[in-house]
Amino acid sequence: MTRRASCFTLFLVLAACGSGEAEPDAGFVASCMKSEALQTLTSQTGIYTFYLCTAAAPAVGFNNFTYLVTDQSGAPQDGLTLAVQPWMPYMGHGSPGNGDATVTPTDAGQYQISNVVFQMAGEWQLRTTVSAPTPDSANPQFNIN
Amino acid sequence: MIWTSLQGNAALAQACCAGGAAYQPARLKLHEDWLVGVSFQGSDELGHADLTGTYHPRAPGTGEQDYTENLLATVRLLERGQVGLTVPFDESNRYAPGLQQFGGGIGDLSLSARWDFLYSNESAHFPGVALLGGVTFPTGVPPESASLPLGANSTGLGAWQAAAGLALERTFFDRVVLNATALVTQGFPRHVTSLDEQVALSVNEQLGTQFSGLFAAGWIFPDEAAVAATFTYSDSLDTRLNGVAVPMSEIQINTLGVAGGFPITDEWRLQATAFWDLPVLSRNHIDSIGGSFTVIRAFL
Repeated sequence: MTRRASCFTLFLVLAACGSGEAEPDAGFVASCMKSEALQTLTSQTGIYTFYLCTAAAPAVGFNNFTYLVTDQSGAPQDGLTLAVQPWMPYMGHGSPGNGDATVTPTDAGQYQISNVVFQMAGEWQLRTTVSAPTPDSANPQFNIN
Repeated sequence: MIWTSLQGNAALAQACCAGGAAYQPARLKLHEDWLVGVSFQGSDELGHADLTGTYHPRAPGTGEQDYTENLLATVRLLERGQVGLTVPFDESNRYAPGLQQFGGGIGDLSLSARWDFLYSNESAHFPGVALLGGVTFPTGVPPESASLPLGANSTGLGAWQAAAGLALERTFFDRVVLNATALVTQGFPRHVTSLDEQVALSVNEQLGTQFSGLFAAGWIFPDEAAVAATFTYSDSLDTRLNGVAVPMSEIQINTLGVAGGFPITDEWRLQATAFWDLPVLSRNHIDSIGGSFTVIRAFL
């Protein structure tokens, strides 16, 4: 449910204000299949392949994704420490709501990513960092409408 | 912001001194020593142009309305110079399916300066020539620092900006005013860190140098009211991250506008504009439609 909110900035009031209600969107892809991936990327070092699946096209607001991560032989990779950061490359800024984004490993190389916020329309990256066991990264990019 | 401060929207022009009066609500006319004013602007998102220039209408259930109130002040220095201050207050209403947010606060303050080497029609042979300069201060809240997930309370770029430009202006037959202005804006690097410590994102980001041009044609009525049509085109170099250009990150904008100005007295005047970001020759930009209304009190 959307809660109506309002805020009025008086000319002489210098403090920022804001209100609203955040509500994550629905659903994950339960298991990301290679054949159903929205995007497939080789990591920066070439060690991993990232298959990115989503139940709905990425959009303004909250989004959920599921990664299938494999090595170059196609074997699922469990036990990775992943983090994500939405990033708007042409404006050079991130997304303020990303503090709530979480990565939850499941099994068979699957990682569920929830509460990714794209705050406006345009080109966005989902900067994805592997911090362990081997530092690496991948940056899928979307045109968000 | 600097562009707005330096040129604003096409505005009132007096038949007696159109060169000194047109194109910026907060620009001093020849006989004015200083002024203060307030402007109100609103706009509604229509869609966006992606990195290839393809236009996408906004998706159903999503959108953004932006509002700005500017406090304006300009003072004359050394007869041919003037310095202006703009203090903006920005608010945004953003919504997506299941999500609606409204926020705002103080935006990026800007200082602008203008030196008229030659006033419009001061020479029988040459147009008026003015040198422009400006600085924008990162006093607003940059997008990644906003507290609301959709960034509705983001009010600034987070970086210093400096601009320099040249304006040419000429009035013909005491009724027709033409203006051409070129401006170069340079944003300075800023440090961006991730809110998520695990990502360890820490980069120096710098928006590409922006090149802008404004072309305007106006008509001045006998009662010194004026109307004008404007076209603004802006293109930038690629954004740089840690000194490396991000491919296809140039920002291209073009805006069509109309404006009208009306003098109430010698000291008070009103100005209104309407503008439309054209969905062609646009790239990496959210296109909007909107308008503004300005009240100026001048002191002679």
